[in-house]
Amino acid sequence: MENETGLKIFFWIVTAIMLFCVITVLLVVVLHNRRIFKIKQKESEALLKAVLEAEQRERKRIAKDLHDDISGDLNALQNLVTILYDKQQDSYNKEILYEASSVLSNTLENVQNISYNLMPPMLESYGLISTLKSYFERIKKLHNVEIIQDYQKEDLNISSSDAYELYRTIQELTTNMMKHGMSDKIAFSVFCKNNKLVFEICDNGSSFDFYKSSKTTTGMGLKNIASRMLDLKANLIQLPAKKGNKIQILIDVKQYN
Amino acid sequence: MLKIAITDDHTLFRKTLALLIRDFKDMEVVVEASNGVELLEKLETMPVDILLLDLQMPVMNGFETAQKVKEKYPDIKILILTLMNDVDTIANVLQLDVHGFFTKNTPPNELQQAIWNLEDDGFHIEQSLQPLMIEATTNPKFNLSKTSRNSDFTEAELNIIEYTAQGLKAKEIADNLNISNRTVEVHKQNILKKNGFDSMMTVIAYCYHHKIIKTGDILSKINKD
Repeated sequence: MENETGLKIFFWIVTAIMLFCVITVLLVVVLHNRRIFKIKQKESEALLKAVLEAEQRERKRIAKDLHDDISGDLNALQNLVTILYDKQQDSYNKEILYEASSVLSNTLENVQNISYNLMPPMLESYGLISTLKSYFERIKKLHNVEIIQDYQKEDLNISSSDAYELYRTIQELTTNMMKHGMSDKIAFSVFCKNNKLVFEICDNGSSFDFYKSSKTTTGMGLKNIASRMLDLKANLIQLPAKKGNKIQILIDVKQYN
Repeated sequence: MLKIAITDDHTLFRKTLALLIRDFKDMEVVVEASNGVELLEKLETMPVDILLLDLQMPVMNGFETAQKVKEKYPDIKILILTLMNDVDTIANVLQLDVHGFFTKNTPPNELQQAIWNLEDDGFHIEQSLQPLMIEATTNPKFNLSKTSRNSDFTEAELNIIEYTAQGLKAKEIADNLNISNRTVEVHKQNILKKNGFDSMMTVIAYCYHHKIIKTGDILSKINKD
Protein backbone atom coordinates (compact mmCIF):
# COMPACT_ATOMS: atom_id res chain seq x y z
CA MET A 1 0.00 0.00 0.00
CA GLU A 2 2.72 2.37 1.05
CA ASN A 3 4.71 1.36 -1.97
CA GLU A 4 1.79 2.26 -4.16
CA THR A 5 1.49 5.78 -2.68
CA GLY A 6 5.24 6.27 -3.15
CA LEU A 7 4.91 5.17 -6.72
CA LYS A 8 2.02 7.58 -7.28
CA ILE A 9 3.97 10.51 -5.83
CA PHE A 10 6.97 9.51 -7.91
CA PHE A 11 4.75 9.35 -10.97
CA TRP A 12 3.34 12.86 -10.37
CA ILE A 13 6.78 14.31 -9.76
CA VAL A 14 8.11 12.80 -12.95
CA THR A 15 5.07 14.10 -14.87
CA ALA A 16 5.54 17.57 -13.42
CA ILE A 17 9.22 17.61 -14.34
CA MET A 18 8.43 16.43 -17.83
CA LEU A 19 5.71 19.03 -18.23
CA PHE A 20 8.08 21.68 -16.98
CA CYS A 21 10.70 20.58 -19.49
CA VAL A 22 8.21 20.62 -22.35
CA ILE A 23 6.96 24.09 -21.40
CA THR A 24 10.52 25.38 -21.08
CA VAL A 25 11.45 24.02 -24.48
CA LEU A 26 8.31 25.52 -26.01
CA LEU A 27 9.01 28.83 -24.33
CA VAL A 28 12.58 28.86 -25.55
CA VAL A 29 11.42 28.09 -29.09
CA VAL A 30 8.76 30.80 -29.04
CA LEU A 31 11.13 33.37 -27.60
CA HIS A 32 13.80 32.44 -30.10
CA ASN A 33 11.35 32.73 -32.98
CA ARG A 34 10.22 36.08 -31.78
CA ARG A 35 13.76 37.29 -31.60
CA ILE A 36 14.50 35.97 -35.07
CA PHE A 37 11.34 37.63 -36.33
CA LYS A 38 12.34 40.92 -34.78
CA ILE A 39 15.81 40.72 -36.26
CA LYS A 40 14.35 39.80 -39.63
CA GLN A 41 11.92 42.69 -39.42
CA LYS A 42 14.73 45.06 -38.54
CA GLU A 43 16.78 43.65 -41.36
CA SER A 44 13.99 44.07 -43.88
CA GLU A 45 13.33 47.59 -42.66
CA ALA A 46 17.00 48.41 -43.06
CA LEU A 47 16.95 46.78 -46.47
CA LEU A 48 13.89 48.76 -47.49
CA LYS A 49 15.57 51.95 -46.36
CA ALA A 50 18.70 51.05 -48.28
CA VAL A 51 16.68 50.27 -51.42
CA LEU A 52 14.75 53.53 -51.24
CA GLU A 53 17.92 55.47 -50.55
CA ALA A 54 19.71 53.83 -53.45
CA GLU A 55 16.78 54.58 -55.74
CA GLN A 56 16.81 58.20 -54.70
CA ARG A 57 20.56 58.56 -55.03
CA GLU A 58 20.74 56.98 -58.45
CA ARG A 59 17.79 58.93 -59.82
CA LYS A 60 19.34 62.11 -58.55
CA ARG A 61 22.68 61.31 -60.15
CA ILE A 62 21.20 60.44 -63.55
CA ALA A 63 18.86 63.44 -63.50
CA LYS A 64 21.74 65.76 -62.68
CA ASP A 65 23.95 64.33 -65.42
CA LEU A 66 21.13 64.71 -67.92
CA HIS A 67 20.27 68.21 -66.81
CA ASP A 68 23.76 69.62 -66.39
CA ASP A 69 25.80 67.84 -69.01
CA ILE A 70 23.60 66.42 -71.75
CA SER A 71 21.26 69.41 -71.90
CA GLY A 72 24.24 71.76 -72.06
CA ASP A 73 25.80 69.70 -74.84
CA LEU A 74 22.53 69.73 -76.77
CA ASN A 75 22.28 73.49 -76.32
CA ALA A 76 25.82 73.83 -77.63
CA LEU A 77 24.95 71.65 -80.62
CA GLN A 78 21.88 73.78 -81.19
CA ASN A 79 24.10 76.88 -81.27
CA LEU A 80 26.43 75.29 -83.81
CA VAL A 81 23.57 74.20 -86.07
CA THR A 82 22.11 77.69 -85.86
CA ILE A 83 25.44 79.20 -86.93
CA LEU A 84 25.54 76.91 -89.96
CA TYR A 85 21.90 77.61 -90.73
CA ASP A 86 22.44 81.37 -90.66
CA LYS A 87 25.41 81.13 -93.00
CA GLN A 88 23.95 78.60 -95.40
CA GLN A 89 22.97 79.94 -98.84
CA ASP A 90 21.82 76.69 -100.43
CA SER A 91 18.11 76.27 -99.77
CA TYR A 92 18.23 72.46 -99.62
CA ASN A 93 21.00 72.48 -97.05
CA LYS A 94 19.25 75.22 -95.15
CA GLU A 95 16.13 73.10 -94.93
CA ILE A 96 18.10 70.14 -93.61
CA LEU A 97 19.80 72.29 -91.01
CA TYR A 98 16.43 73.62 -90.01
CA GLU A 99 15.17 70.06 -89.52
CA ALA A 100 18.30 69.19 -87.54
CA SER A 101 17.61 72.14 -85.31
CA SER A 102 14.00 70.99 -84.70
CA VAL A 103 15.19 67.48 -83.88
CA LEU A 104 17.61 68.98 -81.39
CA SER A 105 14.85 71.05 -79.80
CA ASN A 106 12.70 67.94 -79.41
CA THR A 107 15.57 65.95 -77.96
CA LEU A 108 16.36 68.71 -75.53
CA GLU A 109 12.77 68.82 -74.40
CA ASN A 110 12.65 65.03 -74.01
CA VAL A 111 15.86 65.00 -72.03
CA GLN A 112 14.48 67.69 -69.76
CA ASN A 113 11.26 65.77 -69.23
CA ILE A 114 13.16 62.58 -68.42
CA SER A 115 15.42 64.44 -66.04
CA TYR A 116 12.44 66.11 -64.40
CA ASN A 117 10.60 62.81 -64.00
CA LEU A 118 13.65 61.24 -62.42
CA MET A 119 14.14 64.07 -59.95
CA PRO A 120 12.58 67.51 -60.12
CA PRO A 121 15.50 69.94 -59.93
CA MET A 122 13.83 72.24 -57.42
CA LEU A 123 13.02 69.57 -54.83
CA GLU A 124 16.21 70.24 -52.90
CA SER A 125 16.44 73.99 -53.37
CA TYR A 126 12.79 75.04 -53.15
CA GLY A 127 11.21 72.21 -51.19
CA LEU A 128 8.21 69.94 -51.56
CA ILE A 129 5.36 72.41 -52.06
CA SER A 130 7.10 74.32 -54.85
CA THR A 131 7.94 71.04 -56.51
CA LEU A 132 4.35 69.84 -56.28
CA LYS A 133 3.08 73.09 -57.75
CA SER A 134 5.46 72.83 -60.65
CA TYR A 135 4.62 69.14 -61.07
CA PHE A 136 0.88 69.81 -61.28
CA GLU A 137 1.58 72.68 -63.66
CA ARG A 138 3.35 70.24 -65.99
CA ILE A 139 0.58 67.68 -65.67
CA LYS A 140 -1.97 70.32 -66.63
CA LYS A 141 0.01 71.13 -69.74
CA LEU A 142 0.74 67.56 -70.79
CA HIS A 143 -2.67 66.02 -70.09
CA ASN A 144 -6.15 67.33 -70.39
CA VAL A 145 -6.87 67.48 -66.70
CA GLU A 146 -8.09 70.16 -64.35
CA ILE A 147 -6.19 70.41 -61.10
CA ILE A 148 -7.34 72.35 -58.07
CA GLN A 149 -4.65 72.99 -55.49
CA ASP A 150 -4.99 74.27 -51.97
CA TYR A 151 -2.02 74.72 -49.69
CA GLN A 152 -2.88 75.73 -46.15
CA LYS A 153 0.63 75.01 -45.06
CA GLU A 154 3.54 75.93 -47.30
CA ASP A 155 6.62 75.83 -45.15
CA LEU A 156 7.12 72.22 -44.33
CA ASN A 157 10.07 71.32 -42.23
CA ILE A 158 10.73 68.08 -44.10
CA SER A 159 14.09 66.59 -44.99
CA SER A 160 14.75 66.49 -48.72
CA SER A 161 14.87 62.71 -48.59
CA ASP A 162 11.39 62.52 -47.01
CA ALA A 163 10.16 65.20 -49.40
CA TYR A 164 11.32 63.00 -52.25
CA GLU A 165 9.38 59.97 -50.96
CA LEU A 166 6.24 62.06 -50.51
CA TYR A 167 6.65 63.57 -53.94
CA ARG A 168 7.04 60.15 -55.55
CA THR A 169 3.97 58.88 -53.70
CA ILE A 170 1.82 61.79 -54.84
CA GLN A 171 3.22 61.48 -58.35
CA GLU A 172 2.36 57.77 -58.40
CA LEU A 173 -1.19 58.35 -57.13
CA THR A 174 -1.80 61.13 -59.65
CA THR A 175 -0.48 59.12 -62.58
CA ASN A 176 -2.57 56.17 -61.49
CA MET A 177 -5.70 58.28 -61.29
CA MET A 178 -5.16 59.73 -64.75
CA LYS A 179 -3.97 56.57 -66.47
CA HIS A 180 -6.29 53.94 -65.03
CA GLY A 181 -9.02 56.02 -63.44
CA MET A 182 -9.48 58.27 -66.50
CA SER A 183 -10.05 61.21 -64.20
CA ASP A 184 -10.08 64.69 -65.70
CA LYS A 185 -10.37 66.56 -62.43
CA ILE A 186 -8.03 66.23 -59.48
CA ALA A 187 -8.11 68.15 -56.22
CA PHE A 188 -4.99 68.27 -54.13
CA SER A 189 -4.62 69.88 -50.74
CA VAL A 190 -2.17 70.10 -47.85
CA PHE A 191 -3.38 70.93 -44.37
CA CYS A 192 -2.85 70.21 -40.68
CA LYS A 193 -5.35 68.25 -38.63
CA ASN A 194 -5.02 66.89 -35.10
CA ASN A 195 -1.26 67.31 -35.08
CA LYS A 196 -1.01 65.50 -38.37
CA LEU A 197 0.15 66.85 -41.64
CA VAL A 198 -2.35 65.74 -44.28
CA PHE A 199 -1.82 65.44 -48.02
CA GLU A 200 -5.19 64.82 -49.61
CA ILE A 201 -5.81 63.88 -53.19
CA CYS A 202 -9.26 63.38 -54.71
CA ASP A 203 -10.33 62.66 -58.26
CA ASN A 204 -13.46 62.06 -60.30
CA GLY A 205 -12.28 58.94 -62.16
CA SER A 206 -13.22 55.32 -61.59
CA SER A 207 -12.89 54.17 -58.00
CA PHE A 208 -10.32 51.65 -56.97
CA ASP A 209 -9.49 49.96 -53.70
CA PHE A 210 -5.98 51.13 -52.97
CA TYR A 211 -4.93 48.29 -50.70
CA LYS A 212 -6.51 45.60 -52.84
CA SER A 213 -4.97 47.03 -55.99
CA SER A 214 -1.58 47.36 -54.39
CA LYS A 215 -1.66 43.63 -53.56
CA THR A 216 -2.94 42.37 -56.88
CA THR A 217 -1.22 44.71 -59.27
CA THR A 218 1.89 43.63 -61.11
CA GLY A 219 3.13 47.17 -61.48
CA MET A 220 5.64 48.37 -58.95
CA GLY A 221 4.14 51.84 -58.54
CA LEU A 222 1.44 51.10 -56.00
CA LYS A 223 3.52 48.49 -54.20
CA ASN A 224 6.29 51.02 -53.78
CA ILE A 225 3.88 53.43 -52.14
CA ALA A 226 3.37 51.02 -49.26
CA SER A 227 7.15 50.78 -48.79
CA ARG A 228 7.50 54.53 -48.91
CA MET A 229 4.77 54.97 -46.32
CA LEU A 230 6.54 52.51 -44.03
CA ASP A 231 9.81 54.36 -44.48
CA LEU A 232 8.16 57.72 -43.76
CA LYS A 233 6.25 56.30 -40.78
CA ALA A 234 3.20 57.73 -42.50
CA ASN A 235 -0.30 56.34 -42.97
CA LEU A 236 -2.18 56.16 -46.18
CA ILE A 237 -5.93 55.96 -45.80
CA GLN A 238 -8.66 55.75 -48.35
CA LEU A 239 -11.85 57.57 -47.43
CA PRO A 240 -15.24 56.73 -48.89
CA ALA A 241 -16.13 58.98 -51.83
CA LYS A 242 -19.36 59.28 -53.79
CA LYS A 243 -17.46 59.47 -57.04
CA GLY A 244 -13.82 58.76 -57.74
CA ASN A 245 -11.37 58.40 -54.92
CA LYS A 246 -10.27 60.25 -51.83
CA ILE A 247 -6.89 59.38 -50.44
CA GLN A 248 -5.07 60.93 -47.51
CA ILE A 249 -1.48 60.62 -46.44
CA LEU A 250 -1.03 61.41 -42.77
CA ILE A 251 2.25 62.22 -41.10
CA ASP A 252 2.93 63.04 -37.50
CA VAL A 253 3.79 66.72 -37.35
CA LYS A 254 5.97 66.10 -34.30
CA GLN A 255 8.43 64.31 -36.53
CA TYR A 256 9.11 67.60 -38.23
CA ASN A 257 9.31 70.00 -35.33
CA MET B 1 29.77 97.54 -81.03
CA LEU B 2 27.93 96.06 -78.06
CA LYS B 3 30.33 94.47 -75.60
CA ILE B 4 29.00 91.20 -74.24
CA ALA B 5 30.02 88.98 -71.33
CA ILE B 6 28.97 85.33 -71.06
CA THR B 7 28.99 83.52 -67.72
CA ASP B 8 28.11 79.82 -67.84
CA ASP B 9 29.85 76.83 -66.31
CA HIS B 10 29.18 74.58 -69.29
CA THR B 11 32.30 75.25 -71.38
CA LEU B 12 31.04 73.85 -74.67
CA PHE B 13 27.83 75.83 -74.43
CA ARG B 14 29.70 79.02 -73.58
CA LYS B 15 32.13 78.63 -76.46
CA THR B 16 29.44 77.90 -79.04
CA LEU B 17 27.33 80.76 -77.78
CA ALA B 18 30.31 83.08 -78.23
CA LEU B 19 30.70 81.75 -81.77
CA LEU B 20 27.04 82.39 -82.48
CA ILE B 21 27.08 85.92 -81.06
CA ARG B 22 30.18 86.74 -83.11
CA ASP B 23 27.92 86.47 -86.16
CA PHE B 24 25.26 88.76 -84.71
CA LYS B 25 25.39 92.29 -86.05
CA ASP B 26 27.31 94.88 -84.02
CA MET B 27 28.10 92.61 -81.09
CA GLU B 28 31.28 91.15 -79.72
CA VAL B 29 31.93 88.79 -76.85
CA VAL B 30 34.68 90.32 -74.75
CA VAL B 31 34.40 88.30 -71.54
CA GLU B 32 33.86 84.59 -70.97
CA ALA B 33 33.65 83.25 -67.44
CA SER B 34 32.63 79.94 -65.89
CA ASN B 35 31.32 81.40 -62.63
CA GLY B 36 30.60 84.64 -60.80
CA VAL B 37 34.00 85.00 -59.17
CA GLU B 38 35.78 84.65 -62.48
CA LEU B 39 33.40 87.15 -64.07
CA LEU B 40 33.92 89.79 -61.38
CA GLU B 41 37.67 89.41 -61.78
CA LYS B 42 37.49 89.94 -65.53
CA LEU B 43 35.05 92.86 -65.30
CA GLU B 44 37.67 94.83 -63.41
CA THR B 45 39.73 95.25 -66.55
CA MET B 46 37.10 94.94 -69.25
CA PRO B 47 33.98 97.10 -69.48
CA VAL B 48 30.87 95.39 -70.89
CA ASP B 49 27.35 96.50 -71.86
CA ILE B 50 25.43 93.25 -71.62
CA LEU B 51 25.89 90.25 -69.34
CA LEU B 52 24.45 86.85 -70.25
CA LEU B 53 24.24 85.01 -66.96
CA ASP B 54 23.50 81.37 -66.12
CA LEU B 55 21.88 80.66 -62.75
CA GLN B 56 23.25 77.32 -61.65
CA MET B 57 27.02 77.54 -61.39
CA PRO B 58 29.62 76.35 -58.93
CA VAL B 59 31.65 78.73 -56.73
CA MET B 60 29.26 81.68 -57.18
CA ASN B 61 25.81 81.13 -58.65
CA GLY B 62 23.88 83.49 -60.89
CA PHE B 63 21.74 85.02 -58.14
CA GLU B 64 24.70 86.13 -56.07
CA THR B 65 26.61 87.22 -59.16
CA ALA B 66 23.70 89.37 -60.41
CA GLN B 67 23.50 91.17 -57.07
CA LYS B 68 27.25 91.82 -56.98
CA VAL B 69 27.36 93.02 -60.59
CA LYS B 70 24.41 95.36 -60.02
CA GLU B 71 26.14 96.87 -57.00
CA LYS B 72 29.47 97.42 -58.70
CA TYR B 73 28.43 98.03 -62.29
CA PRO B 74 24.89 99.45 -62.32
CA ASP B 75 25.10 100.22 -66.05
CA ILE B 76 25.55 96.61 -67.15
CA LYS B 77 22.30 95.10 -68.37
CA ILE B 78 21.80 91.54 -67.24
CA LEU B 79 20.01 88.82 -69.22
CA ILE B 80 19.47 85.62 -67.26
CA LEU B 81 20.09 82.62 -69.50
CA THR B 82 18.82 79.39 -67.98
CA LEU B 83 17.22 75.99 -68.52
CA MET B 84 15.01 76.45 -65.49
CA ASN B 85 11.58 77.83 -66.30
CA ASP B 86 9.54 76.99 -63.23
CA VAL B 87 7.51 79.47 -61.23
CA ASP B 88 9.88 79.67 -58.29
CA THR B 89 12.96 80.32 -60.38
CA ILE B 90 11.09 83.07 -62.19
CA ALA B 91 9.93 84.57 -58.89
CA ASN B 92 13.52 84.57 -57.61
CA VAL B 93 14.84 86.11 -60.81
CA LEU B 94 12.21 88.86 -60.69
CA GLN B 95 13.39 89.73 -57.21
CA LEU B 96 16.85 90.38 -58.61
CA ASP B 97 15.50 93.33 -60.64
CA VAL B 98 17.55 92.22 -63.65
CA HIS B 99 16.72 93.21 -67.21
CA GLY B 100 15.60 90.00 -68.81
CA PHE B 101 15.03 86.27 -68.75
CA PHE B 102 15.89 84.01 -71.68
CA THR B 103 15.29 80.27 -71.55
CA LYS B 104 17.83 78.05 -73.24
CA ASN B 105 15.07 76.15 -75.06
CA THR B 106 14.27 79.23 -77.09
CA PRO B 107 15.74 79.16 -80.62
CA PRO B 108 19.24 80.70 -80.35
CA ASN B 109 18.55 83.23 -83.10
CA GLU B 110 15.97 84.95 -80.91
CA LEU B 111 18.82 85.80 -78.57
CA GLN B 112 19.92 88.51 -80.98
CA GLN B 113 16.59 90.29 -80.63
CA ALA B 114 16.59 89.75 -76.87
CA ILE B 115 20.00 91.41 -76.54
CA TRP B 116 18.84 94.36 -78.65
CA ASN B 117 15.71 94.64 -76.52
CA LEU B 118 17.95 94.94 -73.49
CA GLU B 119 20.06 97.60 -75.14
CA ASP B 120 17.21 99.60 -76.70
CA ASP B 121 14.31 99.15 -74.27
CA GLY B 122 16.22 98.22 -71.16
CA PHE B 123 14.48 94.89 -70.71
CA HIS B 124 13.40 91.65 -72.39
CA ILE B 125 10.48 89.40 -71.48
CA GLU B 126 9.71 86.17 -73.29
CA GLN B 127 6.01 86.43 -73.94
CA SER B 128 5.57 82.68 -73.53
CA LEU B 129 6.75 83.08 -69.93
CA GLN B 130 4.15 85.72 -69.06
CA PRO B 131 1.63 83.22 -67.62
CA LEU B 132 4.34 81.89 -65.30
CA MET B 133 5.39 85.42 -64.43
CA ILE B 134 1.82 86.25 -63.51
CA GLU B 135 1.52 83.10 -61.44
CA ALA B 136 4.76 83.90 -59.65
CA THR B 137 3.89 87.50 -58.87
CA THR B 138 0.26 87.03 -57.86
CA ASN B 139 1.29 84.59 -55.14
CA PRO B 140 0.71 86.51 -51.88
CA LYS B 141 4.13 85.43 -50.69
CA PHE B 142 5.89 87.05 -53.62
CA ASN B 143 7.93 89.95 -52.36
CA LEU B 144 10.23 92.40 -54.05
CA SER B 145 12.90 92.80 -51.42
CA LYS B 146 13.07 96.62 -51.44
CA THR B 147 9.81 97.96 -50.06
CA SER B 148 7.89 101.26 -49.93
CA ARG B 149 7.64 101.88 -53.64
CA ASN B 150 5.82 104.79 -55.09
CA SER B 151 3.18 103.43 -57.42
CA ASP B 152 1.35 106.67 -58.00
CA PHE B 153 1.30 106.25 -61.75
CA THR B 154 -0.48 108.65 -64.07
CA GLU B 155 -2.97 107.23 -66.51
CA ALA B 156 -0.55 107.63 -69.40
CA GLU B 157 2.12 105.77 -67.44
CA LEU B 158 -0.32 102.99 -66.59
CA ASN B 159 -1.20 102.64 -70.24
CA ILE B 160 2.44 102.32 -71.11
CA ILE B 161 3.07 99.70 -68.43
CA GLU B 162 0.09 97.71 -69.66
CA TYR B 163 1.11 97.87 -73.32
CA THR B 164 4.65 96.96 -72.35
CA ALA B 165 3.38 93.93 -70.46
CA GLN B 166 1.48 92.92 -73.57
CA GLY B 167 4.77 92.82 -75.42
CA LEU B 168 4.38 95.99 -77.50
CA LYS B 169 7.51 97.84 -78.57
CA ALA B 170 8.00 101.56 -77.90
CA LYS B 171 7.05 102.40 -81.49
CA GLU B 172 3.78 100.44 -81.33
CA ILE B 173 2.92 101.96 -77.97
CA ALA B 174 3.54 105.42 -79.41
CA ASP B 175 1.21 104.66 -82.33
CA ASN B 176 -1.46 103.24 -80.05
CA LEU B 177 -1.43 106.23 -77.74
CA ASN B 178 -0.92 108.79 -80.49
CA ILE B 179 2.22 110.15 -78.89
CA SER B 180 5.81 110.32 -80.07
CA ASN B 181 8.46 107.66 -79.43
CA ARG B 182 10.33 110.19 -77.42
CA THR B 183 7.38 110.77 -75.08
CA VAL B 184 7.05 107.02 -74.50
CA GLU B 185 10.71 106.90 -73.53
CA VAL B 186 10.31 109.82 -71.15
CA HIS B 187 7.31 108.13 -69.55
CA LYS B 188 9.28 104.91 -69.15
CA GLN B 189 12.14 106.75 -67.48
CA ASN B 190 9.68 108.44 -65.15
CA ILE B 191 8.06 105.11 -64.31
CA LEU B 192 11.42 103.57 -63.42
CA LYS B 193 12.44 106.61 -61.40
CA LYS B 194 9.15 106.70 -59.51
CA ASN B 195 9.08 103.00 -58.85
CA GLY B 196 12.78 102.80 -58.06
CA PHE B 197 13.48 99.71 -60.13
CA ASP B 198 16.15 99.23 -62.79
CA SER B 199 14.05 97.24 -65.20
CA MET B 200 10.56 97.45 -66.67
CA MET B 201 10.33 93.71 -66.13
CA THR B 202 10.39 94.31 -62.37
CA VAL B 203 7.91 97.19 -62.68
CA ILE B 204 5.50 94.86 -64.48
CA ALA B 205 6.04 92.22 -61.81
CA TYR B 206 5.37 94.87 -59.17
CA CYS B 207 2.17 95.96 -60.92
CA TYR B 208 0.95 92.37 -61.25
CA HIS B 209 1.64 91.75 -57.61
CA HIS B 210 -0.16 94.88 -56.40
CA LYS B 211 -2.98 94.38 -58.90
CA ILE B 212 -2.23 97.77 -60.45
CA ILE B 213 -2.73 96.29 -63.90
CA LYS B 214 -5.17 93.51 -64.69
CA THR B 215 -3.54 90.19 -65.46
CA GLY B 216 -6.64 88.74 -67.13
CA ASP B 217 -6.45 91.17 -70.07
CA ILE B 218 -2.76 90.45 -70.55
CA LEU B 219 -3.27 86.69 -70.53
CA SER B 220 -6.11 86.76 -73.03
CA LYS B 221 -4.06 89.08 -75.24
CA ILE B 222 -1.10 86.70 -75.12
CA ASN B 223 -3.27 83.68 -75.84
CA LYS B 224 -4.77 85.47 -78.83
CA ASP B 225 -1.32 86.12 -80.30
